[in-house]
Amino acid sequence: MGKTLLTVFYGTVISIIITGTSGAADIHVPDNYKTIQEAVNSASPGDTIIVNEGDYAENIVISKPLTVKSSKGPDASVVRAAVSGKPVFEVKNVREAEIAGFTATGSLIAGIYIDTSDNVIIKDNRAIDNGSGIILSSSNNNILSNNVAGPNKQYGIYLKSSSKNTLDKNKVRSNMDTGIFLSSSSYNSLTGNNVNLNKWNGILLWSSHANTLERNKVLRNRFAIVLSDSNNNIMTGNSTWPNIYIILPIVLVYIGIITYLIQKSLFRFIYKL
Amino acid sequence: MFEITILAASLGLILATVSFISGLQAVKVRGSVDTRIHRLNGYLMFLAYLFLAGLSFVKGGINLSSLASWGTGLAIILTKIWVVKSRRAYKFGSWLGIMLIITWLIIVYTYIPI
Repeated sequence: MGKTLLTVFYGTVISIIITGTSGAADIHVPDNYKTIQEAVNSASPGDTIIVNEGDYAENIVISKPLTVKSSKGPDASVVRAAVSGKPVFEVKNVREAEIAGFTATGSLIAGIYIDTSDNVIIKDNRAIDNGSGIILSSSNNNILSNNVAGPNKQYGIYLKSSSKNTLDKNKVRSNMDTGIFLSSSSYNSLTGNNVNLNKWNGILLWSSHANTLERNKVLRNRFAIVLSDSNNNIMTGNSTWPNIYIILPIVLVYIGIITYLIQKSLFRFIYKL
Repeated sequence: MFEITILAASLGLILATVSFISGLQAVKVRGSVDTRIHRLNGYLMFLAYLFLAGLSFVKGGINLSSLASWGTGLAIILTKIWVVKSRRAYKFGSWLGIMLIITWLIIVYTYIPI
């Protein structure tokens, strides 16, 4: 009897351990749940939601640590704002979440909005045709990597009161106002971003201190890098010159002149003139 | 790194330059090879223009601004051909040639990779 009880006890303990450690499940959309939000609501912290290709009309609110990623990248998985007055993806009061491989479009607020959240990874997304592309508000220690932000109606990437975030290798282009806007945001690292063709500023730092801007390409904006009321920012190896290809037209005209001379000789030879 | 658009735009600017210089020379010396060079390069340039316009509409869709831009360029090319063929307003031919060079500069600048 005692032996049986002991076996049951150990069995229960082992099953609890197994359940506890293998709790991070993969949830597939639309196989397991029709919408991404349904999957988010049903998921447990640490779960991964894998979204298959398709066009989803949703406003997704994530308020627990989850990984939401597409199976085939941003071209295949497009999320459009069902309500244009809300962000397409909103991450709220979360520590450690990830959004990867989506096209987020059609919101008047933002494609991806990170609100009071830390350690969130945003990578390989395209935030296009929104109010702003990606907004971080009062959020720290997040990583934005390899995203495309633009064209958008206002900012490509907007950090307000957010610190110690890393913006790495993002393409921020053709936004109607500023490419990357740091407002009251300090100790952030902007490395290897391409910030091109934005209507107003490329990178704007307003009341933002001790940020590191390194090896960014900031080309063909109205103003390249603008600092206002910002101190102790480190800037190294950024390129704001309108790039080497700007001399291409001059080279082409020279080639044209040489081509003319060659053609003239050839035609004279052919027609014996 | 280089896309077909920048290659076609570069070719267009080279052809426009050749056509412009040979056009100026053809006016000076009638019956020279310059007339042939001018015509050949001019028509090739026109083809490059049509190719780029078509590609732009296929890739970016047809909208008012692109339609207006490509339409303006086409109007300059057609006016240039008409001016030369009909021999009306012949003296303004070189001005239209300059406008074509500027058109191609804008196209090349637009397609420069960044």
